[in-house]
Amino acid sequence: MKLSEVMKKDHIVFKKSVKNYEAAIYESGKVLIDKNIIERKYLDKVIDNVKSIGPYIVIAPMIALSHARPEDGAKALGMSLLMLEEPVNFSKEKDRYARAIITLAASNENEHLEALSQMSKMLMENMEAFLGAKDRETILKLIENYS
Amino acid sequence: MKQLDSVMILCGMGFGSSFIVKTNVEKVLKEMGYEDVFVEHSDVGSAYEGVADLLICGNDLTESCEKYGPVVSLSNLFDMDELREKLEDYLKE
Repeated sequence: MKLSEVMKKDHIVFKKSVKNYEAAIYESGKVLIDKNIIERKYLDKVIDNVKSIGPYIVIAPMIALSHARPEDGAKALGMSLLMLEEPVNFSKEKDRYARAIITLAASNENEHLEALSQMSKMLMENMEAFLGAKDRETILKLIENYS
Repeated sequence: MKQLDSVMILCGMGFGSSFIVKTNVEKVLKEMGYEDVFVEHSDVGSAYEGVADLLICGNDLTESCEKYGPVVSLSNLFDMDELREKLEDYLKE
């Protein structure tokens, strides 16, 4: 499935700020719970992982890829995005700030790879435009160009 | 230039970010003239000493990876220039 089918319009949320990174993870993934794509425990697991392994989900400055594994409560393929105006730090010790929190879920090892590589290409070539986006339409246009 | 037969890209889950980096690593290695390198990706929990000639990970996993072999760690997984520079650095030693 291509990126635009996985990251749908109503999966993208803009918000000024959140109280902490846990809230960022829940608010980014909430729509996937509502749509029965993940269980709540999937997001609990992401937070557990950050606490035990570290803020490794911040994969580039300002970008977090919030995900656990299929067996952690992912029922289908889906992606969602929380765009914050104010960055949130995923670490207490280091600077691991993110403004874009992408939640990724897949029910097996492979079904997400097409959409994930399209997103990766989109970010590699348009990082500034992506982080500068002020509305859904801007993000959707970028997504459409790479789907 | 160093000999390089295998590269393992490691991330927390072996599921998202390591896959993103894999495509880039294959591309950069080819540009550098390394044609037949076995590149795979996995989670940090499945690594062991000697799993590959070189390990690549995000900079929050460096310490976990270092016990398994030489490590190149990245602060931005989408930055091809950072990847290229650090790979060149490692391979020329």
